[in-house]
Order: sequence, then C-alpha cells, then structure tokens
Amino acid sequence: MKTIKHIFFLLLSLFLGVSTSLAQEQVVIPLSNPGAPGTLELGIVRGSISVSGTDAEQIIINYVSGDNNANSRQNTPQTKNGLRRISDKSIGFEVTESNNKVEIGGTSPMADVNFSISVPRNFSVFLSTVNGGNVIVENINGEIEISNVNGNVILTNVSGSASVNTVNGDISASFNSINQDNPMAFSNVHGDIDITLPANVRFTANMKSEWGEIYTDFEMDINRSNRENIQANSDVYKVSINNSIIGNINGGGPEYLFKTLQGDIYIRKR
Amino acid sequence: MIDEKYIDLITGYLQDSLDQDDQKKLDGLIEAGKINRHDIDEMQMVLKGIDSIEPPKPSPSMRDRFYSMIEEEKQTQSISWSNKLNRWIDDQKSRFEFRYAIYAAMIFLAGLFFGDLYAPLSNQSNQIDRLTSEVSQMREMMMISLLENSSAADRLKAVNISTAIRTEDNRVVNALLSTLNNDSNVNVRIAAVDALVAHASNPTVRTGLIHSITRQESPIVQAALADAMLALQEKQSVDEFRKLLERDELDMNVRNKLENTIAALN
Repeated sequence: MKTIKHIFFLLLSLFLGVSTSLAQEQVVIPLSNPGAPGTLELGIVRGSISVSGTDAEQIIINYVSGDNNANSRQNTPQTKNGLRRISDKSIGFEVTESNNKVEIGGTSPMADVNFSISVPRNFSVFLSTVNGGNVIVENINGEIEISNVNGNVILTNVSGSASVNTVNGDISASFNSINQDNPMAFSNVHGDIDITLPANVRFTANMKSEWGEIYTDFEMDINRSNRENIQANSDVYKVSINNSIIGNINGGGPEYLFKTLQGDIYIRKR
Repeated sequence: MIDEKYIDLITGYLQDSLDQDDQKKLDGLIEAGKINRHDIDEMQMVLKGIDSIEPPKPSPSMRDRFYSMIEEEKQTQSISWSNKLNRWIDDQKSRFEFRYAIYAAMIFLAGLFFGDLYAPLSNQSNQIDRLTSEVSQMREMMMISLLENSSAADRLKAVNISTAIRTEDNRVVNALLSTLNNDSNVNVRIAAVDALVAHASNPTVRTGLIHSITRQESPIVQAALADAMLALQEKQSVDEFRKLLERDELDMNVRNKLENTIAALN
C-alpha cells in the first residue's frame, strides 16, 4: 500500500516577526486516496478546534496562537545584560498522513493553539481538548468522537454517529442523517445537552439528568419498569438500578446515552 | 241408498255409540225422510253377515315360501358385509410373505432416524440450553473483539451487547472492568458502569466497582459510580468515596452528589 508520510515540524518564532505570530498560518495536507473516507485525529490541551467538511480533496489546517501573552512578549527585551535572546514561544505540532488517516499531535501542553481545519465531507473525526475553547464540527459524514473539559461542543449539519463528552460546557448536535447501527453517547457535568435527530431514527434513549430536566418532542415509549432484581450472596436486593429514563423511539434501536449532572437534556425531532 | 254424509251417524247408531244429540238428529232425519228406515235395517243385516264370515287360514305352502324368502335375503346380506371382509383377510393372509415384515420394519426405523434428526425425541431441552450458551459465547467473543476496536462507537456497542450476555464465567466482567479502568473514552466508561450493574450478581463486579472509584478522574464517571453503588446498596464503597472527597480538584457538583450518596448509604 502506498503510504505517504508527511512530517511537518513547524516553528513559529519571533524571529519571523511579531506580526506573523498573530496571523493565521496554513498547512495543506494531500491525501493518499483522494475521495475515499478518512479520519482526522487531533488532541490538544489548550485551545479550540473547529472542523468543517468541504468539497476539497485535501486537508487544510489553519492555526493561530491563542496565547495572549504572545503580544506581551514583544515587550520583553530582545537583549538582556548584553546577551541576545534566542528562546522562542513556538507553536509546534506534527501532522502525519497515512492511507487517509491524518493525525495531528505533538503540541506542547503549554501552547495555546486554535485550530481550524477543513476536511473532505466523508471524514470521521476524533478530537479532544481540555482548556480554552469550544469544539465545533460541521458538514461532515462519519464517526464523531469528541472530548472536551472546559468548553462547549457544537455539531451542526453532521451525519453518522457521535460520542461527545465535556465537563463544563454545553453539547449541541444537529444530525442530518444517522448511522442506524451505531450507538451514541452524550455526557457532561455542567451544561445542557441539546440533540436534534431525524424524525425517522430508531433508538433507545437512556436519559438522566441529576439536577435538571429532560424534554423531547419525539413520541417516546417510556419504559418505567427499570427496576431489576439484583441477587448477591443469597441476599436479594430489589432496587431501582438508577433513576434514568429509558424510552424507545420509533420502536427502539441502538442505545443513545444522554447523561448530565447539572443541565437540561433536549431531544428534538428534525 | 244412504247419503254419504250420514254414514257416520248410521254406523254410530248400529254400534249403539250415539249420544243424545246425534240420536235426535238421526230421528229428525228419518222423520224428514232423508234416511230410509229400510236402508238402515239392510245395513244392519250386512254388518251381521260380515261378522259371521270366518277369515281363511293361510296355507302351509305360503308359510314355507315366506321363510325361504327370508333365508335368501339373509344370504345376500351376509355376502356384502362380513363374508367380503373375511374373504379379503384370507386373501391377504395367502399373499403374506416374511420380507414384507422386514420392509415395514425398515421404513419404521428410517422414519425414527430422520425424525430424530429434525426433532429429537430426547435432549431437546439440553440442546436449547447448549444453543443459548453458544449464542452467549458468540456474543462474548463479539463483545471482546469489539472492545479492542479503536472506534468509541464500536466499544459502546460492545458494552451494550454485554448486558445481554448471561454467563457465569468472569471473562465478560473482567473485560468490562478493564474497560471501566482503562478506556480512553468517558462515554464508554459510563456505559461500562451501567453494564456492570447488570452483572451485579457476580461478586467480582462489586469489588471491581469499589476499587475503580478512586481510579476515575472524570466527574461524570465518578457520579455514575456513585449511582451504581447506591443502586447496589454497597456500603463498603463509602471509604472510597471519602478518599475522593479529599481531592481538591473534585468537581463541585460531584462533591455534592458524593456527599448525598454517602449519607444515603449510611
């Protein structure tokens, strides 16, 4: 199998001037099999991610430093005590492409980078960030796996299936069509979960909001009998497994998990 | 001649069975000349004459003929019923050969054999049990291979399948526990907690869940474990939750929930 491996090690240094450090930079990655489905993996610690599907047959990565301190760095002296400053606060990352599988990695946990990436429409994305921003995905068709901690996750105009979790942030997703085989899961701690699905999708919703409410406009066949006999060491406990609501939509199907502690859950019909 | 319509009246008179009304009516009719007294007398004479005639006795030849006809009829009847049957049975007996018995026995045994192939007379419940356990094993294999996939959707699928596996061996439970402790995806770990609660009859599940509490960094998984422990009424988990509460970085909402859980378990 033909494998192209591109390794970019990008240094954005102050030697190039302060103005460039604030400007958006771009890297274009060609694909091994243009037109075929592919995957994009990106995990960062600080920064936001935005991925958008386009008709292009390559990947375009735009990145910009989100570090506000970069501005203030120009105020630090270029020379000190007669010595020249050679350190730089660079944005470094590495992109590999192999058989339409694109991985972006190697970012410093200290660097704050905002990525804005355009991919062909038939792409699956695996994105994670921790601090400093939202994750936004739009116009793609594939598997979506997103993990955030302090920020929102917004999926618009997507197809396929998704697993999204964040801690402090809202999750909103609007699906054009669904991969009927796959389960989905949306969970967060502090924030709303707002999911819009096609009207004909069949799924079994497993919903729980600890301190919030759950709303839907789907016809939901709610199974209230989620009590189960749990037998252990000849003691029989009869307990409620949890107070989550389990409901079948359009007859039921793969399980879609909706779980939040402090937030409302909205399941909307498209 | 006597008019037809008075015949009843006159025969009644002749047999002395007329009541007073009819007697008067008859007397009136005789008075009026509708019935002639002579006619009545004549008729009385005829009746007496008939009584005096002796009926002829049947001749002995007639009797013989009668019985011979009955005998003939009996003969034809018996030929069409029992005789025919007897004759047919006799025919079959004369045609019987030993090899026919062998053929019959062979066909019977073949029937037993093929019948047993499709619907065994015995072991049906055993076979159903075996099939159930085979399905369970297939699910188990499918689950364990799906769990090794890189896609979170596949791993979620695996965890969801596991709730349908009813097995005594620990492979499923161990796979779920290892998912709970090591999976990179938070949602898969949450689903693993729910799936493990479904296998709570296995004692490994309880200890595994308790040991997992302090290993979890994600607030939503910590909350899910608190729900699970509450559902299982597992008091031994309280110490582990206390350890979590000592962590400074613990999410405020989770802290709240854990305090409630500890209160409910005590």
